[in-house]
Amino acid sequence: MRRRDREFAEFVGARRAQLVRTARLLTAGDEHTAEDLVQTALTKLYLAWPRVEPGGADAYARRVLVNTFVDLTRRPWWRREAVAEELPDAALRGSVDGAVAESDAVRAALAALPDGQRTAVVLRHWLDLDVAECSRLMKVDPGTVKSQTARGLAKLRTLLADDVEVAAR
Amino acid sequence: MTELRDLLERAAGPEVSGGDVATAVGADLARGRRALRRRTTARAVAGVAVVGALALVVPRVLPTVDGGGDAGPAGQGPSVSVTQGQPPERPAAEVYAGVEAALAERGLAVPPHTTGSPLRWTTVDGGLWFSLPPGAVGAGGVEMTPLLPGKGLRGDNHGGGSGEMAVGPQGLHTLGLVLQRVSQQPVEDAEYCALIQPERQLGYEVTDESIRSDTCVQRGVDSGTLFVTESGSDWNTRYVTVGLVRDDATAVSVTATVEDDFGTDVLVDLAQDPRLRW
Repeated sequence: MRRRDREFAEFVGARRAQLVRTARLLTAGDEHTAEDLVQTALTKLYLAWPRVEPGGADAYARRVLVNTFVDLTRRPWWRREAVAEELPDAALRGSVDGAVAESDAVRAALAALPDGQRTAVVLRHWLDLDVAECSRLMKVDPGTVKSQTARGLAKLRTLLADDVEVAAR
Repeated sequence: MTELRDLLERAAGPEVSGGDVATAVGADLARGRRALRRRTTARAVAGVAVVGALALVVPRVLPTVDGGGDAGPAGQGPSVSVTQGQPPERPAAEVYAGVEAALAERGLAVPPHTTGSPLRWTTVDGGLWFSLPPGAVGAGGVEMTPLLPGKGLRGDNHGGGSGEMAVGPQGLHTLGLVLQRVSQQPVEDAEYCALIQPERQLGYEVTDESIRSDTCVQRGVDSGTLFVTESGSDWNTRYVTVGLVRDDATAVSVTATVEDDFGTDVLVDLAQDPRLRW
């Protein structure tokens, strides 16, 4: 196995699961789209591997993932297909009890957020990125990131009010 | 009160098991290799397809310069010849129309194209050299972007330097062209050589030793004109058509590179299309 392949495989083995989880949040639980996003991001990462700085693969992959998602959300067909009252993938939902029900509620609430607000919330509160980095990834002004995050959080609190109290750090 | 981070943690769902990860890694690796192969093939074919286009366009678009084909003494200016090409048997517009039709047949909508500046080419070991006529830099759709600070092609560094070249809005960027100034003349009077190296990424710096202008001529075994058209782009796809034609207006090869948002190069080899032969 070539060095490039070996290094790439090691990285993917270690980080793929986390990328998938991030993609799930970005897509509000749409497992298929999340998997597509990750595959696309990893393919781009493989192509760019020689240029990726040592130790920078994680950030690069995350950036490609978010970029791909942001681009996707700007496509008309995405908007047509993404409109759904129900979570598109039942596999993650499971039986309605305890933590599963709570997770379902969170995913449903995320799905109810506009793409920009959901992306801002996930980037800020899941990936722990600062406003400047979010701004670059989302290709919007820092002020927009802040407002999208604030609105997203407010809406999440409203949507989840009956299920769980939300505290953002 | 539940921390949002904890909620997101749970909503992100479970991590896949070890066996699934191994399978996924293998699949990701295979996809990456395929994508790399497609890209490499696309670039290689585009480079090889560089066997014949634009002699058709050059005589009509750019003033003809006859350099006689002799290598100039070192440091005494450009030695890559730009010679009179054969008049095309078919007008360029007709060929472009053929390109558009051929692409359309393959389901690729082609917005109105713009024509990039044609370049002279000659084959050299491992690639194709291109020369730009004097005055082409920054005009006629050809522009050069300095690659390294202080070593830009348009800077004061007359000793050489390398840079990216773009023909049309994005054109040759997709081909990984590396451009090298080979002349010691002032920039505005200089000619340039470029070597298509499909396997290399932009940013590869060619050393002065490897890109002597006299080599371009002496080792060249074939020559002609390259045309590149940035056919246009829509929201997720851009269209670049590259073609080569020999000076005798034979062996036309036209390649269309279509790159979508996923970085996928879709190569359409139109070389066999009868409409594109002239």
